[in-house]
Amino acid sequence: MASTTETKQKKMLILKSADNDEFEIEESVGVQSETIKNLVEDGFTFVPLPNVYTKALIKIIDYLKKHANKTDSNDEEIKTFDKDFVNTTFDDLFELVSAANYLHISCLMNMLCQTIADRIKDKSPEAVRKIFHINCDYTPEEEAKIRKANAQAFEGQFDESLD
Amino acid sequence: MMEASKSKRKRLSVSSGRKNSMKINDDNESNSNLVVSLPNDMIHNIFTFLPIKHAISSSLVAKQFLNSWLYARNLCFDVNFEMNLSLNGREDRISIIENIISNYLGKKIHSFHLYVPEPMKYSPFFSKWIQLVASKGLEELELHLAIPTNGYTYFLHSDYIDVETLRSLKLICCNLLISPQSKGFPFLKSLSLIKVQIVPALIKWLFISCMVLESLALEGCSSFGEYTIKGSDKFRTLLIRDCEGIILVTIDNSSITTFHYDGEINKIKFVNPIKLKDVILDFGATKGLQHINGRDELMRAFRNVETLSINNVLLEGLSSRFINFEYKDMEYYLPNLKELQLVRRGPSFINPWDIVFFIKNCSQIERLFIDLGDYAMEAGSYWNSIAKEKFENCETEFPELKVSKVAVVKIDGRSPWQLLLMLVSKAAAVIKMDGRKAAVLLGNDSSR
Repeated sequence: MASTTETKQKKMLILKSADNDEFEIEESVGVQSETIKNLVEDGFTFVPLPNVYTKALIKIIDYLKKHANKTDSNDEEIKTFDKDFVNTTFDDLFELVSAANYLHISCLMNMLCQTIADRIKDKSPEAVRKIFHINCDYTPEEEAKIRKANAQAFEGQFDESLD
Repeated sequence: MMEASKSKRKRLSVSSGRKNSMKINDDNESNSNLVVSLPNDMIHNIFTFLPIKHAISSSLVAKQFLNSWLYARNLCFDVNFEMNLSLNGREDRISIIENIISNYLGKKIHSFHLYVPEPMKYSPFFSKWIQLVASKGLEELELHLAIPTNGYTYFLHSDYIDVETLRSLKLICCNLLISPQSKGFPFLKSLSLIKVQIVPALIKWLFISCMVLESLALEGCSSFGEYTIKGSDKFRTLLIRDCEGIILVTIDNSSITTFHYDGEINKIKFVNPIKLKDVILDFGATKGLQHINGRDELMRAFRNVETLSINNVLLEGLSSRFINFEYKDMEYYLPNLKELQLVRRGPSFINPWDIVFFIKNCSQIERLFIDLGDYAMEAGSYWNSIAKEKFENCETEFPELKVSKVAVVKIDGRSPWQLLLMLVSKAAAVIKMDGRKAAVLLGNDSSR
């Protein structure tokens, strides 16, 4: 096993984004994505990703490369990388989370979902709707009923900002 | 932009699934921004990452998310949850928690934090809750019991949490009872035991059965006996604070990088060369000047340390000893030390020479913080006849020193502390020097 990974001839894959840009990556980096892994197991070396745009794909390839070389010694470095990785706007995070979901990269999915959750947790329902572009479909009566049923959750101050 | 896009945007239905999982609208009016809207199942998924209280309030966002909180992964009923409940809520606390746990629909509970104000009242539910959450792939468990007023001791039985997924365990005022059949916690990475009773056999068992343990914290434990810390090469962090009754802790683990110790002097011993990088040693105040046993071994263990926080007790413990009719300074060298913090604890016998002598042995020091509070040295015979001369004749420079902050009260013109300030400030410029209260030295302007 050691001899095959150390040979110079690494197996490569080509990923094609939704906007038709192509990226060449090592197979060992790509298979962290379940979606890519399944295709590789079926013999594909060219992987079209119709739901992943170039901008998100570049970031995700960066993430996969960083996490493919995980050792005991670069633990701190990866933590710093991850922190920078999620330090972006909600819309960028949403793009990344959809891409991670499509590609089935569960550790990235969890990190992104947790980041978004941490950032919205003190926000008012109205602010959350705006952030996710959701329309409220409750009537005022229905809303009052829910507030009453779970009164303990609605005490305290909410944050109305959208960033 | 929000307004313009709202009218044009169309939500994707829940059933759209992974195909077409994202839609990007390119609004011409605001061509620089894309509006990304996630499908409802993904928004629901994000809501399940909220702490339970916030997950419940997400039910107000829209009808589709009314029941999202029943899938919440982070069930956090900690002290803050308690504080946020109104008085009525506090009385119903048990039924609120019972309701949430028994209606739980999700497959995965990532974390369960439980604060138990009255252990007696909770005991009928306790094991049921723990077993239920543990069966849902629990990774993080924190149990915080209020200090029992009735003198009872409460135990968590290891069988309840005998799940392979557990990564982090924190017990406050709740003892851990290991069942004889226990397989141990093979994937546990972090363990904190706070205000619990521990015995050497328990710690020994933990290091044998938790093969990948990375960090252990023992705080305020009653812990009579001699302990040996011998984990795997994954073990990195050891914290021991205010533990009563420790006779000796032998650290026989070369992979530890972080070590924080707050307790009595002469209770720790290092066996092997060690990779320590970050150390806090806060020895409790001693009655008189007390030398450190095995101080050569101790200082050798610190050879790789980069950040060190110590107090006067350590420096006093390292001070020169009277051997063969002369005072001998100890020999040690901390070649990697970048940051030193020195604070005072209790009555002190420290003098400026002790400090300078220590820093002299740290050639790479960059940051220095000294706070001795309102300590005024009494110039005794040792200082007058030995240390003062050494101190005044000491010619040392600290080429790497970039930041130093020194706070000593009672500085007057000829005080030896004044000289210390001058010395450590040779490489740094004095920005503010308030002779009465504190002197702050910052920057690296050597023209001063």
